[in-house]
Amino acid sequence: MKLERLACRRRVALLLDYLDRELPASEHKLLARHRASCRSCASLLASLERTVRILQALKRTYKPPVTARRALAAALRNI
Amino acid sequence: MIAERDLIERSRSGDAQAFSRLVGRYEDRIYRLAKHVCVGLPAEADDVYQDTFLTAFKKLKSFRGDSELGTWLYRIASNLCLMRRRKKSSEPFVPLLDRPHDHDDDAAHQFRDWSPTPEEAANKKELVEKVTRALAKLPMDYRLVLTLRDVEGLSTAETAKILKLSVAAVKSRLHRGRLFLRDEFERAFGAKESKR
Repeated sequence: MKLERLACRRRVALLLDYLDRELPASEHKLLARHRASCRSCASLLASLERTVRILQALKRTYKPPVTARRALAAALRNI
Repeated sequence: MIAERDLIERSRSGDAQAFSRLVGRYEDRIYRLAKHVCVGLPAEADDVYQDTFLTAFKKLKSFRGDSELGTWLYRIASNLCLMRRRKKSSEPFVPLLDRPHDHDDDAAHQFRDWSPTPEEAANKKELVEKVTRALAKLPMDYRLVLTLRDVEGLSTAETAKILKLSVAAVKSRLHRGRLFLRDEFERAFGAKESKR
């Protein structure tokens, strides 16, 4: 697989699959090698990794407020 | 700790106390999903949170157990979010999402490290607000995929199962959504270098 020869659309899709570790091991290795030698792909991947990391940080946010929890408990009692 | 299967069985026969324990195990993730997908009025998220568990309690007899309880609850919550959207008149229009293949720019760009600064990271509330504002610019279909996949950490296959979409459709929304958010985060947390 020559990444440089792929159309942009396919290349971006491959890079995103690489990011999600959803490629077969052999393709993952190829992409990792390509990343080490291609500045623009490495830069794109790094920017997407930061995006995902920021979204992952949202997992530590928001808990149901006491009012909503009380309302749910009351509604369950009335079923 | 009581096994989940036992709590489900007891809840099926109407034991509200057993069901409350199930609520305790899943309420944070359901509320988070509602909060990120139904951005806007806080009451929307509260309603989705409550309706998800009330619907689940009523329909628990039809839960066959061939998927995880969490997956089933995510599906109920996602459907409730989508039903609320149908009642709204408009969704954000994001031109970039109509041109998903125009990424030649990406190859030509070098992206500066725009990670949140230590001050921004320390001021978590502000950081969350910035991210939430960016998410709100996306249509709900995209918010659902990004929340389940990236915030909640489910796999692409699990996300597809919950939303009853093909894996290809989930990937497409995930990819476009991430590219859109990357640009939004860049604006929020730093600036893009000019093209070489």
